[in-house]
Amino acid sequence: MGNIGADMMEAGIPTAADSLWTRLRHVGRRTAAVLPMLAWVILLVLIPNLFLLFYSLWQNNIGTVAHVWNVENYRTLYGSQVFQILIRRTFLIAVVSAGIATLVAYPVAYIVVRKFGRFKTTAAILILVPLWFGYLMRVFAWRIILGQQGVLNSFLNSIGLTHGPSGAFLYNTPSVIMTLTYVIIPYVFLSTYAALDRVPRYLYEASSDSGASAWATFRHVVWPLTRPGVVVGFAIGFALAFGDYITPALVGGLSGTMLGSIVLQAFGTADDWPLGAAIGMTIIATGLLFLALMALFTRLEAPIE
Amino acid sequence: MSSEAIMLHRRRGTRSILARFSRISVAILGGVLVCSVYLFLYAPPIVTAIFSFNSNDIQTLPFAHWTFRWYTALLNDPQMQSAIYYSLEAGLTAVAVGAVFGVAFALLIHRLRFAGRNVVQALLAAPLVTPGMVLGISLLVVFRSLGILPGFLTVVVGHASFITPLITFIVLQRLRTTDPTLEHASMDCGAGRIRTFWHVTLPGIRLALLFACLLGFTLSMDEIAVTYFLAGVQGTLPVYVWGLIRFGFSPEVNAAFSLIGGGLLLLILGTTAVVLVATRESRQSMHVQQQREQEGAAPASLEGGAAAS
Repeated sequence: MGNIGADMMEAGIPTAADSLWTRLRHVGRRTAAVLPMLAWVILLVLIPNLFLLFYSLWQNNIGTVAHVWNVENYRTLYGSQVFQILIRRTFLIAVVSAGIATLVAYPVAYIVVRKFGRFKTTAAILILVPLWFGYLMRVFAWRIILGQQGVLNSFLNSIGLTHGPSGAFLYNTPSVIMTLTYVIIPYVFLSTYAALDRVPRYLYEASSDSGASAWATFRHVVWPLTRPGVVVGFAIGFALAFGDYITPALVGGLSGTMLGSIVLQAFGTADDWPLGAAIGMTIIATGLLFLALMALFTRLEAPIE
Repeated sequence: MSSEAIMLHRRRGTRSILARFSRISVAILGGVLVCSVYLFLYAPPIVTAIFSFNSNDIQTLPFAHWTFRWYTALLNDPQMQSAIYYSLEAGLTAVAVGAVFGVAFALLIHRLRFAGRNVVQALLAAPLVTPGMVLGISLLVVFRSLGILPGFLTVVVGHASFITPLITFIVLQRLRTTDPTLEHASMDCGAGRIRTFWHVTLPGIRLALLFACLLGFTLSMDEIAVTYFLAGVQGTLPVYVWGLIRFGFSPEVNAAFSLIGGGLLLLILGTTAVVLVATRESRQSMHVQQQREQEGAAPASLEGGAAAS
């Protein structure tokens, strides 16, 4: 009996010999088992996103929400010059920082996997360790480094490259891009490392035995197999950067303001939640669109086996 | 030897020198790249740690002199202390919630094949990948509509929403590599579902669960993007620090960062070490067992059990 129960638990299919009642009870029990998970997903994922959508369609009435349905918020947003500049800048910042992070992390992951031998796990962990120094610290430290009286300025002054403190390194778009790149690199590394580590060594050997150069091996064997990992890493980096409001607030200044900054404002001092929700929906939509686009590139041409 | 052959030989010689040269320069470039990435990644924490000992009020080089002033100021700051306690409380509660639901969900996904399983799985994982700000405001609008004011409950729910899928997927990964016949054997021997879970399933996933819980706890202690929207009057540690650095600045913050970073790092490295050692030991014991079986010392009952099932 216990055995059958175990098998049923595994397969979840009642046998043909069972009566209709047993089958119904079985289906009922399975539904009951799945219910908590269904409830969790509905309560914590579906409803919040749905409510955010509702909020974006409601109106702000001096700090309270009027339940009038229309697309006024979106019209205000997309009609505003400032918002258009911001959305373009946010997209640019996210793409550039995720792109740089990928261009840096992928070669490093390749070198670590191929050349570090039995130290490769240690080397990989060392790249991930900074993730645990705290998000705020990783962003804030750049203010100490890039600031007017910061480490970089002192260093450049002491070697005579610049004279006097320069404010050119902080509170602008490049400083936001650099800080976001810094934040993103470990994530992209993790994704690309996992992909590269799964490529078996004999594929490299077979390729070079067949007379392929190192470049040809990379181009025709390694790249097609690891491309999905690279794309996933890039997409994660993009999402992290696109929705960030900590980095622009700490190192962005005025010219480094991003979409997240005005969401923070809308839910804070401006107290216009419906408008903030509309920006939130814009961020979600952009993220989903980007993911769908990326999914086109993640199809493996051949499975690793 | 004809002159043509000599030319060919020479050309080959130069080409191999060129090839070697380019190979060496590629190797040097690769080395420089790897070193500079490590330097880039570690410069901010090191700079922060050094500046936490700087007695100067303004963050500037050269140092005035070394001091522990900021650490003592930090430990005597009652607001910082209450923020730390609040963070610990919220984090531990969220991890406890996440562990219970995470293990349950992992077992469900692992054992039951039901319609829409992949959809539910993807939706469950969604809070892990959505930007913190979006997760924060989407939960906030629900809480406001329900009339729940931001506070401990909202912070715990916010953190549990991403810790639970984290624990689910790490435990699920472990379940997929465990041997299902162990559970069948336990049930064959007359143990009920609960006893089987307690004595067979849980010990099998214990380490993965521990690792996932600690990972979730470090994420919770560090979380700012979601928490900022969900915290009420009393902020968690990152929210309090965020308030300190956003507009003004106090050098205390560097000391706080150094302590938080050091603590989280010790926690996660310690866990990783424990997990690595434990998996190696279990692998070794499995190896020994396999050897014994190959030597013919395998207990007959084991084979009998396999045949029966």
